[in-house]
Amino acid sequence: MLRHAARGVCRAAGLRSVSSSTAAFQELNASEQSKKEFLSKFAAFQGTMNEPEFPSNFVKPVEKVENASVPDKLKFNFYIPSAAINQGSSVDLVLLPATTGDFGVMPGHVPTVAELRPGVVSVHNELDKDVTKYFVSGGFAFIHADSTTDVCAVEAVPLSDIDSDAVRAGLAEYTGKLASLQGKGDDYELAAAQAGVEVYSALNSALGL
Amino acid sequence: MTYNKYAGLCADMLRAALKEPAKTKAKAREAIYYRSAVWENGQPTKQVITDITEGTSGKLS
Repeated sequence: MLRHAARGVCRAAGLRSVSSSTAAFQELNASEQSKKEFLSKFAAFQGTMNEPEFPSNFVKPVEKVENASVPDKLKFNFYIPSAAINQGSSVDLVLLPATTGDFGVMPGHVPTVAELRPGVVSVHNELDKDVTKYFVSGGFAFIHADSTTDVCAVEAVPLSDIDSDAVRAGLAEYTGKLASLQGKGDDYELAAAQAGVEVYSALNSALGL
Repeated sequence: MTYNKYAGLCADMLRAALKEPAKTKAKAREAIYYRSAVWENGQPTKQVITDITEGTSGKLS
């Protein structure tokens, strides 16, 4: 029986297009003019009563957020413990390898904190024209609301500094270690072998081997 | 295995895969040397020297 009543109310609400969203409420707000008219008519009956309040008096005015201007270049900082590879550089795009997947940062990106996995960071000083790639072993990336991007890596090297033979050998070595440790060996050794496979697989694909 | 150890381990593995001039420079960064002491009643009692010169890559513990 109550269900029927609820349905009846909803139907009636639909007919009268009553909505509870603040936006709609603002439109239904009594304007200053109509408030004054009402108060003047009320004055005749007021006596010693206080003036009635209007709901809009209690609603905070919605701040009109001007579209905060998006800068046309990203302010990019790229740090490793021993050096600042980029300090306040103006770039167009940075591609980052996060543990949750690869993503690109352009001016106006939503503020984000991302943990980086071993992979390639591509810095586009000029979109697709001037690109520098670094392999990072891991770290964090912070994208701030004003489009300043900080990438902090434990170790980062230009791709040209990586030795392909060492990568192939390392990948084979750690894959072998991981296979031989399956089920036995303690947790640390297993984790270290998995980390090795992760790093060397990433190096492998970064070099296109 | 803590996050710090994992992050250091990944960095060591990367350094091991570098080409020569960059490799020696990076290896120098890998070395860890410090001396720590346990203090009791204002006196240092035990001195421990931690000296890791080759980094942790390749060693599975």
